[in-house]
Amino acid sequence: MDPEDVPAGGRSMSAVSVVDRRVGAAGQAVRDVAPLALPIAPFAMAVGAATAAADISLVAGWLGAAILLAGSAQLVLTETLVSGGGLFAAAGAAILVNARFAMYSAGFAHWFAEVPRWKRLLLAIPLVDQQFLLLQRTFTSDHDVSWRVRYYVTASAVLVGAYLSFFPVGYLVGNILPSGVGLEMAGPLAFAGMLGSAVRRRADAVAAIGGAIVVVLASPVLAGLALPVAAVVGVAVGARLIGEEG
Amino acid sequence: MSALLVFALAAGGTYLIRISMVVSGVGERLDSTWTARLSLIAPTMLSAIVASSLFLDRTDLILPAAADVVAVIAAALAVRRSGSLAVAFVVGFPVYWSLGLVL
Repeated sequence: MDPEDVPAGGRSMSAVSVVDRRVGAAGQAVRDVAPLALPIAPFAMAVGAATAAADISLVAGWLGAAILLAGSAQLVLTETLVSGGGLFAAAGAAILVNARFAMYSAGFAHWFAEVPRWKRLLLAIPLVDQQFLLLQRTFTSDHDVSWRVRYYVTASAVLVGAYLSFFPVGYLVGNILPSGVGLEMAGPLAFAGMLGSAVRRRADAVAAIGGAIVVVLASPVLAGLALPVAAVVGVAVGARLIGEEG
Repeated sequence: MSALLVFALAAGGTYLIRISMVVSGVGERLDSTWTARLSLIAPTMLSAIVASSLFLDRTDLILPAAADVVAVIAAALAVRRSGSLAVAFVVGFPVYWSLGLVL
């Protein structure tokens, strides 16, 4: 290597470039995910409080949160247990709520198509609503696959870390907070905020309205299946508009 | 123990859903038409989740409290204007608390 290629710090230009790109992906992930991680705190506390109210031990609840990594499904699971639903009913209800992840899985598989399969199977573990929204907003064809992986892993670490850190706090203090605090509103407010950010075109708005109407009308009949059905209908309606607008 | 078993079952099922398109290979073969449709998933799912939290008690239709609806709308609009998701709570909770006192 020509000595002129080595900068003052002693690293070659290519090494600097690699390091910079690593810091770039991780740094951008932290910056981007921070506003999403913040709303997770009260949401995780709400899930923790609901778990405590269901008389599930802190250890079981926290381990459950760690392996499930899906707050709204955990809420449904605990509610089903509290209302007398059996083991399989509670697990089934949670799985149905998470059926929407199949659509996220399609995006995930597309963005990480060049990653070895075994690695993708591991990376998919923390795939949640916030992650999908973040990746959809961030990833472009300019980002190579290693950048995407670093970005995704960093964002996942922040989100999962925030969720699992605040879960025990909610478990321990959630049910002694005054009811007027409205911890249960954390989820809807966080998702509404994400919705406000996700609707950019007429097609997005139409898809969103379609999804909302279908889930409300279909839930009394389809129960947990209403959410994935609403997703399919909403996307189909919005896609027609994309087609018409070219 | 039984609670952990329920969580394990739910987590196992959820993981299978998360990897479904990786294992099936469908996600890798998406053409531009389908990738355009992918962009609609986020708004659709998010609005469905918000609507079900407001208008449903499990599977029963309910009339939501006005404070809940206004707070959620305020949070969505505030984020849309500011571009910062943190604003959802900065605006949403005060709206919820003040309307809860008034209504």
